[in-house]
Amino acid sequence: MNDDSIKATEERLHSLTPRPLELDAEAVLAAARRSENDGDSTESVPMVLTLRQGLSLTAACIVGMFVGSILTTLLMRPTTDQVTAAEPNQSPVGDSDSSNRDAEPEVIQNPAESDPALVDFAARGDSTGERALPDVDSVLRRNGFRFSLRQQRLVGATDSMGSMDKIATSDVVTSDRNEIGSPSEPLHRRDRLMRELLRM
Amino acid sequence: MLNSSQLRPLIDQHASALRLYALQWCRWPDDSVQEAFIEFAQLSELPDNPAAWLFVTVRRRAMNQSRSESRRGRREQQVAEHRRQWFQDASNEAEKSDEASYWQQRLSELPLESREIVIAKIWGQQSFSDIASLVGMSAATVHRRYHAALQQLQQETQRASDESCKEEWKHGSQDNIADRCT
Repeated sequence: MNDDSIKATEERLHSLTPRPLELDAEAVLAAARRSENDGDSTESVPMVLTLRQGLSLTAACIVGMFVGSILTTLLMRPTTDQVTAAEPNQSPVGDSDSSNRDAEPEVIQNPAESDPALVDFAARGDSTGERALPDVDSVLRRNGFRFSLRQQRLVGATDSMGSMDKIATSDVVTSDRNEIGSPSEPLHRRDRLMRELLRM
Repeated sequence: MLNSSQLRPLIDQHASALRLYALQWCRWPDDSVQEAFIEFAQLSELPDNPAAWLFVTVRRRAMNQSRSESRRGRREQQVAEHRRQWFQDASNEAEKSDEASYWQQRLSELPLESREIVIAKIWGQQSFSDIASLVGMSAATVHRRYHAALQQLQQETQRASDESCKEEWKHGSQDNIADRCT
């Protein structure tokens, strides 16, 4: 494509005249003056929302509160990382005693050094089988770890039922089923938790 | 505030190009242009380049108007799209009228980003650097897009011309064809 043909196109476009716009300079100036005066007179007038604006504002507030509550729930939810110390004699099953929640958590310092079972667990690496369960539970009890309510239910269910298949289908974990995903998920969780402890 | 002797030349020189420019976004370009001129008249200090200022303001106002229009009804806007004319007929000859609608059609096929550059350059007589600040691109990009748009228009025109020649050969009306189609 050479420059001549582009120039020719340019010239053809130049030959077209846009449709005129009837605009009177005096009318524009009058409108400008009027607009300025209106601006002065409305400066002290408080803002009044129209019905539509009010509804939009209300809807925005409701959506904001909804999103805020969801975010709060998500942020406040306990995770497997949140391991805290509890009363030594407290059973890990159930969390009906509200005083447990009020107790100031104490972080356990390097439990692996003090508990041979933990050392053994660490030496075995990623243990996800049934055989690892008693060790894990006993370690947790001996060191007085306190799980979140959900984790305590899982540990308790493991103790009483023995089989992970039973736990996964029982009412105990019904509310957690979406998060559990598979029968072995509680074991994975507990192993993850143990590894976190070992890293402390 | 300006007086009418300062404002009138600007209106005479730029209003029609500004109208065409605003038309790329909204259905009622006259409103956008008029509001821009009113805003211009209220300025306490004149800008260095009044035309560039007007193009920027018209663009903003036309976009705002377009948003309100799209809320009111996109379909209505599409119907109106076909009715409005961008260019005035130079005379009453049918050929001139065809020319205006032909170029309107070709221009409307360009992407908006290129079309607004062509309009600001050809009818707005803005410099590439002014257009660059108007559309938020570098001057080099604006220059490149302008040339690409003209190339596209030229190719379309060439293609249409070739097809027209073929049709005329096919139907045997060979008067003056040799002059136009060689």
